[in-house]
Amino acid sequence: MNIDYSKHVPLVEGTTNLREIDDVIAAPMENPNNPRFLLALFVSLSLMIGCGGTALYNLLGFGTGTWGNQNPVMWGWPIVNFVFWVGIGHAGTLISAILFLMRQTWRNSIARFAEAMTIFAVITALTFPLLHTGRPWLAHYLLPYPNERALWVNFRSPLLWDVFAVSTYFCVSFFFWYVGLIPDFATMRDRTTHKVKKFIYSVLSLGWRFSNRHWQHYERAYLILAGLCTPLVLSVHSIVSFDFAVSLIPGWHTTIFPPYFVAGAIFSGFAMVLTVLIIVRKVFYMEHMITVNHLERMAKVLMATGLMVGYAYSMEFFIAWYSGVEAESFIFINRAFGPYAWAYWTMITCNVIFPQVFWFKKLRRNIPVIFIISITTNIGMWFERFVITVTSLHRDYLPSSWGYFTPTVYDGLLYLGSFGLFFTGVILFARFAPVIAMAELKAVVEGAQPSHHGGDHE
Amino acid sequence: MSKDLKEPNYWTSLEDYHKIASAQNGEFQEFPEGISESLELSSMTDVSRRKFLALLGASAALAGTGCSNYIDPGKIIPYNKKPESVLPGRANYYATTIVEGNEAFSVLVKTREGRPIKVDGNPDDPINKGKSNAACQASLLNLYNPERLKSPLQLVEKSQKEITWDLANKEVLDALYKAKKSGKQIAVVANSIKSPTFARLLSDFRTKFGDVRTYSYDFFNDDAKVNAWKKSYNQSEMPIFDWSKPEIFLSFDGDFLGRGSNKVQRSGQYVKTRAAIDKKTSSRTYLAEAGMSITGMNADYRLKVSPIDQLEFALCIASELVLRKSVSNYSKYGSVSQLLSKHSLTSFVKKTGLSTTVISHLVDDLVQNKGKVLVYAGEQLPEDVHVVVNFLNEVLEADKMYADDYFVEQVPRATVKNLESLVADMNSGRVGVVLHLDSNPVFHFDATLSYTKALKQVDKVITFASSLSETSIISNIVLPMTHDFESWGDVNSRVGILSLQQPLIAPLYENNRQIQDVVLGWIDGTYKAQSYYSYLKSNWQKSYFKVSKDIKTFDQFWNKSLHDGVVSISQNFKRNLSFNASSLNTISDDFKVADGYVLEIQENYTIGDGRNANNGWLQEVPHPVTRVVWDNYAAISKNTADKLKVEPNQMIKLTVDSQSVVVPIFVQPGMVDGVIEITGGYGRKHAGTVGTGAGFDVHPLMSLKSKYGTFVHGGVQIVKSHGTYDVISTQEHFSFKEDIPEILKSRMKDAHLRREIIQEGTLDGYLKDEKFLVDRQAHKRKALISLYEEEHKYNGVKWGMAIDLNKCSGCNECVVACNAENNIPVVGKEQVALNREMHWLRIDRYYSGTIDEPVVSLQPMLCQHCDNAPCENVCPVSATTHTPDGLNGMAYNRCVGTRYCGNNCVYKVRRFNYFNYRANYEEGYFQKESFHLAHNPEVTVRSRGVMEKCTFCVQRISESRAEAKRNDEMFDGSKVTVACQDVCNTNAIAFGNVNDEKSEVAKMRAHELEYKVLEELHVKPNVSYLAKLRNTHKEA
Repeated sequence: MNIDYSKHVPLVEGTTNLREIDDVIAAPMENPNNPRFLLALFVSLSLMIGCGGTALYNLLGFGTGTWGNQNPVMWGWPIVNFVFWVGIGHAGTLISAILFLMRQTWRNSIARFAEAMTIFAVITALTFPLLHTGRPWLAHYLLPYPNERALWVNFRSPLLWDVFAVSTYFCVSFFFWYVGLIPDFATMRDRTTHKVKKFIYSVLSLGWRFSNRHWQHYERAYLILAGLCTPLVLSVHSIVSFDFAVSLIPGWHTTIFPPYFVAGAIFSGFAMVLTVLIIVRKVFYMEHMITVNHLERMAKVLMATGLMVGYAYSMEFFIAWYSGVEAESFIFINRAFGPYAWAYWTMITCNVIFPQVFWFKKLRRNIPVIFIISITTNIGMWFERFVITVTSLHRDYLPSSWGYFTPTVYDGLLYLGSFGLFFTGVILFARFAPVIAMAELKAVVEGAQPSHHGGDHE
Repeated sequence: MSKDLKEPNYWTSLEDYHKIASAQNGEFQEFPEGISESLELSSMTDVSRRKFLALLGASAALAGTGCSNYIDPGKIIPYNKKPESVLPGRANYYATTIVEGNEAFSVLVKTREGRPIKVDGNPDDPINKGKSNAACQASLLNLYNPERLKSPLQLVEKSQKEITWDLANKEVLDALYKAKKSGKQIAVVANSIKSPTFARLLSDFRTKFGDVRTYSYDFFNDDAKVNAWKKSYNQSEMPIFDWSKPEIFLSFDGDFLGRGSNKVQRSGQYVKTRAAIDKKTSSRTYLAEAGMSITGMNADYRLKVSPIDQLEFALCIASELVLRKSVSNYSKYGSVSQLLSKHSLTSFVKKTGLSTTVISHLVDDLVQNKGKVLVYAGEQLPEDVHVVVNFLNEVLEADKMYADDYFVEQVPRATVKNLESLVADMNSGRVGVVLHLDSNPVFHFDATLSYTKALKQVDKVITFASSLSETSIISNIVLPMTHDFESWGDVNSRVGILSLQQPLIAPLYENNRQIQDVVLGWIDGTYKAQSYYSYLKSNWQKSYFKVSKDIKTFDQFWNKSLHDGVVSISQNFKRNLSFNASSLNTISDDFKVADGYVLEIQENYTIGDGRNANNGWLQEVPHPVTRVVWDNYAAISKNTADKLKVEPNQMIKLTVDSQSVVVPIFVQPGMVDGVIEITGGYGRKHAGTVGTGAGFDVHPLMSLKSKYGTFVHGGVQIVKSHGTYDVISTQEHFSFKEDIPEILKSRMKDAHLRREIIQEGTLDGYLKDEKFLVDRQAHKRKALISLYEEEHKYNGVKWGMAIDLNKCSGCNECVVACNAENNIPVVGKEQVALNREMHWLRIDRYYSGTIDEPVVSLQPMLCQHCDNAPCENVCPVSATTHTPDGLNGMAYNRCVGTRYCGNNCVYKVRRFNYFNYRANYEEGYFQKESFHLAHNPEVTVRSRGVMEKCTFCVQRISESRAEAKRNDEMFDGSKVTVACQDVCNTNAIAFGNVNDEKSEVAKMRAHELEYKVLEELHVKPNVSYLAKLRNTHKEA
């Protein structure tokens, strides 16, 4: 079924004035010292420096032991947070690349922001594996650089695959994002009168002159990058899931993990994009560009991926029972009824039950409901990673080493600090770069496309 | 010689052949001109690329060193005046003796560059045969304790000030002469004295100073047993059983595998009676006890009997054997039959609810195996029980199993009466000087004897101490003494066996002096270092030296004795084994019990009477049963806890007579209802950084006048007290969890059996079907399919370990040995609470059965060095890889600490340094300089952020391989032993080359009882376990 929503629902409401689109999108960049912006920056910076800094000081000064990690549960919150943030970083590329290839033009107004979130989410995510090692100052050991000791990395380790997968994903996402930004930087260059800004935007726009030739090359490059990004959307979280699936630990050693993780990543990524977009469209007065129609579509994706995740949860249980492996079946019963049952049922409620409200059109067009569900999904998906990481480890094969993991205040502070880092990035981005792709959005405005049939598309 | 012959008849190039000059120059210069240049700045007028780089590098290096905050690490002094026989990098071994409580161990100490780093039993020792215990292993920490006293102290107005030895000696001599002049008593309070030469020195001391009386005591002692022996046999020297002979063991509350003097020798002998790799018979052990002990975990039948019922139980057994089964003709003795006729086993069984089947098995076994039965009772039980036990042994003709070996005391031990009269004398001012020789009576007897109060009436209290103690802080003069490893001495604790003590290191702190040197100084008037050395030698020359065929001079004798550490001598001794039946007459069989609970104070397994409280290794070794660290606690049964309405960790107040203490609760499966078991020795108030405040002092409860002896009390009142206290255990028991959903409970119960982690059988079943385990494993082994057509072959040496679970008693000595060998840090109670203990080797304890009648299974767990190690492939930096000889290696320097290996280890034996633990514990206590000396220099001291685990003592393997290479021998691995194996009292651990079919480990791997844990995961572990066979009767 190939429904072209753009035919029926206008993607930009209330105006077709191209100038106005530029004005609205450029407004945050051109009106500095917005008090709301400064307040937001202050909050996120204090989270990053205050909470994150305290946690870092203790971590680097004393050691990994400041966290709650312990003997059976050697991975705790840092890994949970890593997977959480990498997951969030999935929506951007999915929206910009896969939906682009599928010609889902409704993506145009949200793609830029989602991509930026990807970049900052991946940066945030990357801090965790780095800090989580016992000796972060030796993190370069994980890179295969030639050295006089002839030491080489272990290509059999999923953690090494992670290093490559995530860094590749970051690079490609970054270039994709940047290529998309070039025409908009050119627009900004042309709009600004400030000398320094002009210089910076000139450099960033790489001499873009909106010529036909430029557009032709640009479209080609964008398509190629989208093509490159598409497999990455699937590969990154598959490889992150290998960190668990390749191990021998019951609850981790599962073949369902790659698709399950990818679905979960999209689920959580869309949730986070929704959370932030709902705020941004309000703050920057962009309700007519990021419309309820957009949000409704995202809500549908959210529900669909939520169902996939729910399927994965039930499948895990079925396979654990069907395999007849004692430790495996125990770990799943233990998840649901053991000491971490509260975490498990939080996850189920947030990820499987709540998104069901989106079956009703009224609710999926209700912005407060979407906002709440996006938040609960974020919570649920964080708990999913917690359940996978911690409950599998805390009671594995030998009952003699079973334990119970309790996080410390430093676990919490570092997690808050990671939000600070993420939002600082996002807020600075919103201040210095267009949060909606001007060029792309203008392309889908009514009447923007050249047509043989007078005005309408195609 | 012709000129032509001088020409070289070989050439390397055509230019060479034709003698071209430039090429010949080239012979001496590897690189042509311009390629290599000397770094001569004056010649560097034009800067070539190479010169530029050279200058750049040199200036960067200069800047680097010039700016760095360089701290002079001190001088490295070459051994240009090398002490004789010390070779840097090579260990020397010296034999000496450690006195630990009422036991002495002849040990062989490994020293490196003059510092002791590892203690093991002396293999020449006829008693322990090269085995030792945890306290011996850990004595290193006492030696290097940075809190040892370093100067004499004098009490001046409530605080102790450092004084010089001269002043201290003067003060002491003044006090001694004053006491002598005024005719007051000089009381020497010491732990039991094992040294014959020191006993002689004390008698010299007495000659010099008049009324000197020696009170030697051991807090945990076998006094009751010795007294009973005296009663029954009119002889104070007690013979020692050869525990390898009996076929039936019956123990009344006697934890013979874990507690009591002689434990090391005894457990070594005991396992010889158990089924083993080439032995298809086994002894059978019956144990009647209240709390769960090491022996309780290993016994074939464990009967739950309260300590106050033990006497009645013993009498009932005696009555059953003598009167009903007529095992001996003692029924003819009127008094005996009169006593026994009052007791009936049937009614006892009915009263206590014991299993009648088990009791009838017991009686049958005793009757049928007359002459091969050994009856034993715990040292904490009162004299009467031991008298009945002597009688039972007599009835069952156990005398055949006495070894020709007797305990001997150098100075008779003080009785309770002696101590009471000492306190009375002190109180009435008749004692001038009290001299404590490394003893701590204030800690032991303060509450029960009001010892501190009495000390106040003494003119001068002088204490020899190695570190702070409750006694030292209230003494007028405190004298810092040397450690066993810094002293000369001798020990004679068995008839006919002498062992020597020699210093292995000069006193670490220059002001520490050996007790005997100081006492000799008091006698002679002037102190002379090493004066006791000559005294000892002359005493040996007088008393023990005899010219024999090989040994002509005393020097030969002395040097040989020093080298061997132990000497056999002939000591005149007449054994008397005729039983005095009238000893039974004094037994009071008034079994009326006071209302209330029963308290049993047990010897703890590690820190002795509190003397080792400041020893981190010993504090952190888990209790063998409960796995609790750093504490003692009141162990009670689940039913008792329910009755008292208390939860674990709840504080309760125990009251005996007028004394009471507050202790936390620990619910112990298998406890007798209504009995509280607490271990003594904990709760030191002044012990040092480690020991102060660890655990609870329960000594006030040991009122000396209990009807059941010092350690057992009836009529104990319990009141719930305020608050809770975290009793920290390294292993929870999940088998008996109550408040969890049924679906989970059913899977947690006996999880170790469901998962086949523990494989067990009965001897009977094994004899019927020797391949029962092989059959059980068959389906698992069949399913192990490899991707590879051919598995990797390990040629040459491949290391493996095999642990016989029939032999392992779970005593934990191996854990401490591993700590000492491998520089394993102490993490402290808080970190253990977070499951972060660092022990590379642990003993897993699993319960099955019910909480009232638990069956315990034990399993030493360490790195299994899997062939398909799951830890290896997940390490991103290859910090853990396989060695060609099958070890799972660990490169600490490469480890970045991702901890993925630890997660993926299915045995959870990897340990992570969450902190720099030496710095983390109590503000760097274990980082103090003196502890550096305790480290094994062959093993890296790991810092924070690094993963570690058992290496199969790879440093020993390397050393042995180097040795073989040096000697040009074939290295087959037969000479390598690992630390846990060396100390294992029961030889449960075998280690070696599995490719060598003759090696013990290869034989054990091929045995039909062999299994590997989690074999089904195909990780191919290299530690094999031999399934335990319980020797129970068919129907039980």
